Amino acid sequence: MKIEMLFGGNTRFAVLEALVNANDATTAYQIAITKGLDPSATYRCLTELLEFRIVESETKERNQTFYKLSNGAGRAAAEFMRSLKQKTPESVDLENWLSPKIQSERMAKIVRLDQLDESKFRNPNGKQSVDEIMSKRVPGELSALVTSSKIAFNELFEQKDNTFILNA
Amino acid sequence: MAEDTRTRFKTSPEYKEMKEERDPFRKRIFFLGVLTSKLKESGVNSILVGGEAIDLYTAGNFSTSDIDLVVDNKAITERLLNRFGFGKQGNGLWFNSDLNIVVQVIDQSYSGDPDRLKKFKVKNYELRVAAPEDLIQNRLYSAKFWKSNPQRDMEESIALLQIFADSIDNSYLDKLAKENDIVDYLADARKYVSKR
Repeated sequence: MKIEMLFGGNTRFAVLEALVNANDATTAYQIAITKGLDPSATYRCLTELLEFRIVESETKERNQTFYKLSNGAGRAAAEFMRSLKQKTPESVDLENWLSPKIQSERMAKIVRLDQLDESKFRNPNGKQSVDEIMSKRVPGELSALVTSSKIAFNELFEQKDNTFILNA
Repeated sequence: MAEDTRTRFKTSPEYKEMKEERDPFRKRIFFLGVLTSKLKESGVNSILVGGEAIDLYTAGNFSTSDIDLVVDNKAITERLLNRFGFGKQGNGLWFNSDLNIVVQVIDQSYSGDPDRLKKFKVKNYELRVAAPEDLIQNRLYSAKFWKSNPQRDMEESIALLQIFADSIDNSYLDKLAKENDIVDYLADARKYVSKR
């Protein structure tokens, strides 16, 4: 299962946003109150995110369960969330934003930009620094994409010696 | 005769399965598995290179518009593509509108190290794919000298450097960088990766 398949829908977005913004592990109830969500829907969403290892949970005092983003997929989600926040202030449908169609539209815009004003991104001796080249990406976007790729690749293929075998 | 073969293929279980696959990434790699195994049966060796190889290593996150396949017999490959329902476009690419797949047949010898090819097993089929090191070299060279899309080239190099950080043969990559005059671009890409 690819990470992007998990996104989409206001509840998931709000729950992830709350987890990204939280300094410490937090409860489902706290997330629901902060974001004005239905507590049951919040709990269901967290269970789903747990299943896909985006979120980790820990049971503490009074048998309460606390949730936080995981280091792998969770961190990728957080980086993506932050990059989206920088891109646009309003709520974004992540599933739509990550769809191949929208990704290719973004890439087409970048290509058009290159064709329109190459000098803007190229220095006189013809060598662009990697930071210049990468400046067209929203910060964190590439990093999240690479993390997501690594997770998805490891889930899709099992390595035996020099061969990668596609899992059924 | 060719029409009969095409009809036979289009009604085969493999084709049906490919057409019904909703995930475009899985559809592409399943198609590649079928194609390369049929090529092998006809005595043709093939290697997946370029953007589709990177697409495979990034599990579909860096997708590409066409499949670049290096083969040692272009005529047989094109005949087979024709039987698979592909039509040759004006720009030399082969397109199948049912599968929405585009193939570019490359009949030059493979420029990377054949001993480093990776094998991918997809269902009962086997693919040979360019090694990450050779793909990184190719992309950095493209970023520095071709400059058709330096952002894509740098991003894909960086992605492969990060994803295969534990297994990349850095001495081989350094050797390729020297031979291809891309030492500066490789250093930049590594620096970018180390900052993240």
